[in-house]
Amino acid sequence: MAVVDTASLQERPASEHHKPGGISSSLLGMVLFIASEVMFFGGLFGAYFTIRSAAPRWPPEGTPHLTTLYAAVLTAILVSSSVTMQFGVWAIRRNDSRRLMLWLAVSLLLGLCFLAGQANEYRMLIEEGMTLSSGVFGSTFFTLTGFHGAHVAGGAAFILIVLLRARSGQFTARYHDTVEMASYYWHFVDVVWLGLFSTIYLLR
Amino acid sequence: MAITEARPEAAADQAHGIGPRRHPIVVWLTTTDHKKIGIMYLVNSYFWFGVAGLLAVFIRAELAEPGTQFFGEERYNQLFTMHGTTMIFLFIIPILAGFGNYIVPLQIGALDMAFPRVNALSFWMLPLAGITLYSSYLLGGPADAGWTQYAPLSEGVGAQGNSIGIDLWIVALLLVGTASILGAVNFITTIFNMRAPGMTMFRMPLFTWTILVTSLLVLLATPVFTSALVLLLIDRNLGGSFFNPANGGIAVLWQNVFWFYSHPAVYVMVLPGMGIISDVLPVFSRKPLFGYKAFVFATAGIGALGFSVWAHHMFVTGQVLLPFFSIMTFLIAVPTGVKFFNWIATLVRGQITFSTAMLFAIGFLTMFLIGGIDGVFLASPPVDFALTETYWVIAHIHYVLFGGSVFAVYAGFYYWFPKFTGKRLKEGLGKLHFWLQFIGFNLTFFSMHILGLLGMPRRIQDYAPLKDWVGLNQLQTAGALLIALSTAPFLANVVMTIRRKDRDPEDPWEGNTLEWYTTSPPPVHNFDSLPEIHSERPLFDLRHAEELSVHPDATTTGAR
Amino acid sequence: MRRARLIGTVGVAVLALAGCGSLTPVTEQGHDVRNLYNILFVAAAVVFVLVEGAIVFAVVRYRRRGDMLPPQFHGNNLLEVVWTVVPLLIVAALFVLGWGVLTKVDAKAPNPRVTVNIVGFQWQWQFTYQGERVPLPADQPPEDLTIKGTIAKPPVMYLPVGEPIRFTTEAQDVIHSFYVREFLFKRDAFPGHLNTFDLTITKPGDFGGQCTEYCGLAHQAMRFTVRAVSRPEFDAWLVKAKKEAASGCPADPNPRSIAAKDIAFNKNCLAGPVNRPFQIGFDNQEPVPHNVVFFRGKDADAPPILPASETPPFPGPKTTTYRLPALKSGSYFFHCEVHPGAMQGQLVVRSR
Repeated sequence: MAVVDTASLQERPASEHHKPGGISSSLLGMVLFIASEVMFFGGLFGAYFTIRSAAPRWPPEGTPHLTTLYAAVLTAILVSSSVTMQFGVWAIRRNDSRRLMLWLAVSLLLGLCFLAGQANEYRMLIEEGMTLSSGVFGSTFFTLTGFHGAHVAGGAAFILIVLLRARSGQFTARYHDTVEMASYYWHFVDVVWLGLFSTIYLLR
Repeated sequence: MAITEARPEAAADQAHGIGPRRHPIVVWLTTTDHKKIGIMYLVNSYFWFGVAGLLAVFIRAELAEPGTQFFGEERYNQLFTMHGTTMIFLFIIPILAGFGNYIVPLQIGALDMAFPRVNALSFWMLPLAGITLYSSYLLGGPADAGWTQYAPLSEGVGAQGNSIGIDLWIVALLLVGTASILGAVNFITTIFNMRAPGMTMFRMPLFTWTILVTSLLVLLATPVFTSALVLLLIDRNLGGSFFNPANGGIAVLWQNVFWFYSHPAVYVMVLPGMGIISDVLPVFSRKPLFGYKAFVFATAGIGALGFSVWAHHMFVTGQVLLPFFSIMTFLIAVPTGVKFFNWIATLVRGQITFSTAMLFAIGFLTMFLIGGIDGVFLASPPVDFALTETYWVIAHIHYVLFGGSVFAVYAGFYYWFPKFTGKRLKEGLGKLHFWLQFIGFNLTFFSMHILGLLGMPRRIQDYAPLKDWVGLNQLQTAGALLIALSTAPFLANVVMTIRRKDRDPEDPWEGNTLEWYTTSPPPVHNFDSLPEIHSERPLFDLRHAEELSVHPDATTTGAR
Repeated sequence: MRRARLIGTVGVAVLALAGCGSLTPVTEQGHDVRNLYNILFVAAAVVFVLVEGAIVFAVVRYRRRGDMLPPQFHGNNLLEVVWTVVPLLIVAALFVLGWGVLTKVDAKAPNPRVTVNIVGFQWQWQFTYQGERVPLPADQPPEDLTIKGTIAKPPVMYLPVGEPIRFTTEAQDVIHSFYVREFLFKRDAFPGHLNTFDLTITKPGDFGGQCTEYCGLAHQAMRFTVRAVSRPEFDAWLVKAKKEAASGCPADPNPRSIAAKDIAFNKNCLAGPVNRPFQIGFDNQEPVPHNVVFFRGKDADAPPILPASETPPFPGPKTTTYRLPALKSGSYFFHCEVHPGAMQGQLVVRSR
């Protein structure tokens, strides 16, 4: 019975292991992590729909009016940032690190605009008396959008780190898994927002 | 055969580690080696097992007589809350992950886990969670609304008297949940991406399969629990209205979100145990596991079905679709039955030896069967209306979790202890441990079925002195003391064996799976070489290659 | 013949075992549940004996004898199919059986004569007989007969035997659960949601119940009794209970007198007419000094109604009469000033 020498298996770090035709460990890890985040938001959405279906009126009486147009603009900003993020990924796949940095910076900026816009909407609603503690609508609205905003902030921080690493020349067409990871996460954050926007603003 | 001899390079590895000398405490605190992390998981989890076991002894002491003897209502409510929480989140879920951590990379022929630093992070969150949870004893009192913390009670509605305990409970469980999810990501990635050449998915040991399915459950179910905990935290501290009907919230929403996680969680608590049994039984029967593929599909089936039954915990709320959840709950008995029949078929026509690991495995079979059967009663809503929230449920829980998972954990301990240390635990003390525990366990929990039929509710510290309740309670307290006593030979065995200087063979049981190919304990990088892998029993194949070419009946070509 | 007898004996033994821990159900629905349980038990016993027996047989019969490897069987597809399909059929049958019983247990009678609204609160129960009006003067809002329990004095719910009774459950604070062990039935009481179910009691008697959803500190003290009586007895009790409720003090034909014995009052509720001076008789039946002090409010922080000179503590056996002035409608706290913790209650003043 032959034996296999394990020395050759020790060449590359574990996270860069590729099975031929498979997905690298870092990307698989990110996909799995995103799956868990989807379930987390699933729980929050489940709570929202349950409460909404049991309420006599939704939104309840006295809820300040949500401006769909404003939220639509925020949606456009976030979707654009996903598009620019993907441009960045395509750039580095062609080994164009400069373009990558450009698109990362644009995505980051758009993401920060989204956050600023979200914060502004919060300010307006709080001034009109809607808070976490003002009733079920306030609780569900701020919890859902708040956790989403936190994930956007986390994603923005991730993009910033990737941008700084790109600046120091760490990514090539062959080795840029971290950029792909960041893009997966950013697209996920965008998709969650689309769900949120449809549910809270469009469906009502 | 030659595989049982120690390799000289391994000894050198052991003595010096790789790199400059470091103080052992620093080594352990900063390690990212899955084997050291696995050991830490085992030690940490067993510690919390002891703490929660002590709480159980207190509970049984109080219940020995009707009326209040030692603990007032508030303290008693804290006792059963902390007992359940500690057992589930600080003991059984992590200890199975600990076995997974040590064993899975070895079983698939990998160097380590896919993300070793995340692995270390996952571990250290656990003692932190334990300290957070128990700090509540010093900060005004621990959580006291049951490990299930139903809202609105857990929101502080009404006269309950607890403020910070439940918040600390929430934070501790957020930590445990995060650690679990990160661990799951690690296990799944490792199993998919880091198998040795020749180790196809259908040649992985069953234990690794169960860790894979369990990790998928953890990945998808735990975040829902996270969302529930977060909503509870917001209700309790930030004026949220999710679960409080007084503000438009819905009381039963908590139960739905909670049980959506906690039901799959019970499979998290038992599937890896079943994986251990599936590895142990073939070794000590000297035959392959009967129906390997059936096991894989049954495990996956239980995992999937496990997401569809949560509301069977809520039949008496009057707010769930009874027939759907009833049929799905009945259905889950089928793949579990398939496993039982395959386990028995593994034993039949075998050549069985009764090491302590095997005793615990057989104990698992006999006890988990009872827990599975008494659960089927609860699948039928009318019978559930009579038996839920009584001692019948407590009997069921403990037959599957103690008679099941804990026995499996001990089987794994006795089986893999020589892998961890190079020394077998003493068989004499092991058998004493097994029999004391087996008897004590049944003395404690079997008659709880009867108590449930006689209508004794759970979570009460003072019960009506009905003559058909008192005697049984006293019997159960005696049994609990016997269980506590049974840990003494185990602990003594561990200490004595660790202190022993001489070593046992590196493959003392003639194991089937890859972890037995390397030294005991393995070197830091796990394997200096790997055998060719052609079936789910690579070591068996290696060991019996010549024998099998002459024996007409035996074949290894069962697996592809 | 021998085999038949063996099977018969085993069958009887199994059924006898099924009776282990048995409570005789006292409702129609409970009987159906008991029968379902027995069927499940027989199925469980058969499975248990077969499977546990197989395990024990295997470990005894196939102990290691020698060094030869046993035949290395890997599996058998036919067996897998058989032992998947057969259990599937068994559980399907059990499910269908259970669904049938569920339909009966959940069935609602067309026109139940008695409806009891059960309300759970921390930590006792309140039972309202819907539609059973308490005779009150026209100026007072109408009230249905309500039995309210305290921890010290759990409530007794009278119910008629032999006819369907409608129950509703809800809660005022946290989730509770209504359970009577001999009904083989429980149903949660939720804040913000009403549950409804019907039961028909088949046997008269006293049946103990308690809360079965953990609800806090005194969860185990949330006990009550169901007293099932014949219809005529139930009607008679209704009349009596309504009269007592009208007096302001439930279940008390003599709400103007109170006695003390064993460091306790014999009641915690006294009743008086509104806006008219009246008298309360006090009988101290033991040599320990007691008195009754009435307060102008819900507790002892309010000013006393009578001057201290008129309410001195005194040892018995001796009686006295307290002359109370006209009082407005409401609840007035009283206690024994020597034993204020153990001996206290409410004086209820309302128009008759």
